[in-house]
Amino acid sequence: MHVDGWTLLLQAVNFLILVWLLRHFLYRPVLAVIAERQAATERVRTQAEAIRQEADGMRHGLEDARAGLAAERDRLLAAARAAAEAERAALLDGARAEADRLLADARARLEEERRQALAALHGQAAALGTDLAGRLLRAAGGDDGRFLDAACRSVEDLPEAQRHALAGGETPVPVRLVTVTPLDPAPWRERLAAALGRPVALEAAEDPGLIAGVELHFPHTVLRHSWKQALAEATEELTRDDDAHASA
Amino acid sequence: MTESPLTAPVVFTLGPVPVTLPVVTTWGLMALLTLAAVLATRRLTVERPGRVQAVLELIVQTLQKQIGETMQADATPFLPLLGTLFLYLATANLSGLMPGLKAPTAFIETAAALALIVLLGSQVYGIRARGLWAYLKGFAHPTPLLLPLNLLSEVTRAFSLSVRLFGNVMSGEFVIAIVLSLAGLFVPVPLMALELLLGLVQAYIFTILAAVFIGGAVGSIERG
Repeated sequence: MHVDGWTLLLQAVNFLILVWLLRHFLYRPVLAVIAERQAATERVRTQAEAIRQEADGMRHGLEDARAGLAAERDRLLAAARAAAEAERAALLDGARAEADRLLADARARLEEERRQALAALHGQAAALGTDLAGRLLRAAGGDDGRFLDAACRSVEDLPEAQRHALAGGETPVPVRLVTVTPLDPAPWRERLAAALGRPVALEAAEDPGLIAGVELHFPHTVLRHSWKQALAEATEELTRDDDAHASA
Repeated sequence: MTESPLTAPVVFTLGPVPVTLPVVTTWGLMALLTLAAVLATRRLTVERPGRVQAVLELIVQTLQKQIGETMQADATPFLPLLGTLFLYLATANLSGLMPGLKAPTAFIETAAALALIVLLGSQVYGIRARGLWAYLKGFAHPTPLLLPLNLLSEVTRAFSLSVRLFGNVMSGEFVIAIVLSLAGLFVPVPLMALELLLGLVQAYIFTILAAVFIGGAVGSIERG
């Protein structure tokens, strides 16, 4: 079998030329288009990936913000609750203190009013008692001479120094004798001079307010022996006892 | 004495150079493929590829994928050579079915030229990828005792490549011609359909084997 060298060489050259031609007119443009399309696809994919990542970032941001909002809401609610609780406690304390104060004031006022009412009642009772006693004593009538005798005895019972002080250093001693009913002063002048141990210038006077009894007005001292004085002392003593009880 | 049917008939001569039928047929196929490529790639777009562009991209990507899977490497540097090999072989093998034409690959010169290009191409790619010394050392692998056998296998592989292609295409055409001369017009049609399939299969086998040889040379796959 004969092999033609020229044909072999020409076919080899032909094929190499065809390789160059197809490389230039077929492979290069087609591969370029495919590469460009792949690049475009990759570009779109990259953009989509970037958008997806951005969306993920935004989603994460929103989730974080939402979580932050929930935490902030819880914190604010807790703070509001605490503030409300503190305010409520403060208001309750204030109201309790105000109520206690009002109660204490009311109690004090009530106590004061009660004490005043009691004092007034005692005063009225004492006044009523003394008035009643005065009326009864006045209706029963009294013996002024007996009271005057008792007064003279009490003068006699005084020490000398006090009797001297009663006299006020005057002679005759000016004594004003007040009685409920008029008395004959002569015997009583003698009785009184004997009790004082000095002469007496006796002046008689009347005072129905004494109920019963006498008052001896010395120069500096008044010696009272009468129901008026006794009732006044009893009233004063009753009133003083009431005040002591009320303050206790 | 009649001329052997295996001898390429001379169409014309250019000085001392006889231009034979397979060369002229190859020129026609080159013109056809180049014109088709130019026409098909005139209006390539990225956004809205047409039907022609879609088919074109499908062909190129399929070739790229097949070569890449065979070589287990990026096929882009080898696509012009191997892709053109397949396209040329497919059109050349099928051209024999056209009335009045004879497939260029039915002549041993064409098959030998292609096998020679594959042989030289694998050496060039191997040296570029691995360096001259490393590439030459590969022939002494796994032991220097195998160096003569390895060198011989390089040549015999190319030889078998060319003879396989030549024998298949040539025999197919002969069978069709004999049947046609004996039985009439439509009888060889099934044989022509078979030849159509055989032509594509031979193109595929030649291209895949070339990819395997070049892959073995560059080291992306184990040398066969």
